[in-house]
Amino acid sequence: MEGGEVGGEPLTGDRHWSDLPRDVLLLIFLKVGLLEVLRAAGSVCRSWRKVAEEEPDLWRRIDMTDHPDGFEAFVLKDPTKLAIDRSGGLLEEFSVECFGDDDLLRYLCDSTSVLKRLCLTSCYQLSEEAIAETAKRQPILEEIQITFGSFSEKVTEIVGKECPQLKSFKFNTKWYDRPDTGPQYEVEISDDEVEIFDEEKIYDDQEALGIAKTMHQLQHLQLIGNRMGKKALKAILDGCPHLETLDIRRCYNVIMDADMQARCARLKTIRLPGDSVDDYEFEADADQDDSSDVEESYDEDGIPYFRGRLDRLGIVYSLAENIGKCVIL
Amino acid sequence: MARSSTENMITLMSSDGEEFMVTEKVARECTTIRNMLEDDCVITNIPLPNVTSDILSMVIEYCMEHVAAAEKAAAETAEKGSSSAPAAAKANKDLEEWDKAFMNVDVYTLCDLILAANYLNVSGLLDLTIQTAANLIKGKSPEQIRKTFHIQNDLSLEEEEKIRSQTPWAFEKSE
Repeated sequence: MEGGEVGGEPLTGDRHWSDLPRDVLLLIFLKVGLLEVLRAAGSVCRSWRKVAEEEPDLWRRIDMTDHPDGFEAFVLKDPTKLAIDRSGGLLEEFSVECFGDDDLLRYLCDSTSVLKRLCLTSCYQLSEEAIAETAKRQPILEEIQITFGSFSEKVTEIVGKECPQLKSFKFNTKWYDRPDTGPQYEVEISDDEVEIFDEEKIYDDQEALGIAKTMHQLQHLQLIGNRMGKKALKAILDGCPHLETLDIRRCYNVIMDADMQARCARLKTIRLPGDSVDDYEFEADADQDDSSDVEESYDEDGIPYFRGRLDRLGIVYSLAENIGKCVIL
Repeated sequence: MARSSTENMITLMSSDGEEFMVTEKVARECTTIRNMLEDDCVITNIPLPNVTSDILSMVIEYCMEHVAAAEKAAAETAEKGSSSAPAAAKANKDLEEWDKAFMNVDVYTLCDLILAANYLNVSGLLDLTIQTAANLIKGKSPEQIRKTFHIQNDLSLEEEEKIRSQTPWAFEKSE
């Protein structure tokens, strides 16, 4: 057979970047990143502008976690609102780092009601009530991912109550190590069970119990660096009968004894407290040397700020808290 | 370009009439061609009126390099029973270096390669070229992008004004 010819317009020698097919330009814009499309690429010429403004596929997933240098994080709120506008009510995935606050989530809910996935990283100005309100207004929301943040211990319960349909929940923080010097003692948690407590360890079961109490449809749960103990984990296993994957890396308060292993046997995948965090995109351990990654500078008014990525460094925020001002460059 | 007489050879013909003989395995790197071969297995001669000989030879060079790398990795795995992680990592790095050097082209060639990779559906090459273009766009002002890619600003004053009013924050810092 001679004619295996593949159809299409013949390509001549004078192709122009302004004549790229829409689908190809869309691929390029997705790699460029939405902020850059809003800031510059979308206003290069008429055809590029058309794709930037009229291609809903470009705006179905808005990921505002990779801030280019030169942006102060909260300056990104207006561009993000414009990105939400461009999605034309079709926004399915929203990720924000640092500058996600109550106002922004309200804006998002006023625009879309088909959100499936919400990722909030280092959003220290965000309240648990705003997350709960979002969950309430997004009936098909399946996944919430919260990494670092400043919430009360009731956060999981408050949020979980509003989205009983949630399939995937990630609620991650860093494990702050305490010197393991205190004496251990046993505490009865029921008639025939005891849990070994270490005086120096800080336990906090509230967040885990909030999950157990409200998120009964969960299939996937990631709780990195949580301070829950064995009792809270048992409650999760009982309260979330559909759970398939469980990631409790850096939850060092959980002792995986024979009983716990037996309870977890039904899970398809489990990542244990001591497992490697190499494939985890954030910091899992509060490193003593974190502050060395942050360069202290002074702005025009002589107020110190930290030049560094707040996203991967929870510590930047905690340092900034003491000073009362945090500017992210 | 024949590597072994036992392998099926396919002739690809560029828009300017040049013929390129490649192994079927190399040709199959192009999903568009693979689909044609699966529809009609006796096909041996494929005209590609959308791709010039310059660009087609580059696409073939890319496909050959990637097929060779995959074959080498498979051979090593077969020989040792399992692939050794450091060797595989080095091979990957070598291929990445090769890709990087391969992308050392002017923007016109890059544009042609993107269109050819899209049309022939060579996913690796499409990813590589799209990423290269994206890297050239990132961090630049609209004017710098126009200069880089030789694009004429055909926006009307009204359109420019609309862009300014929609994105006032884009003009605060960069200019």
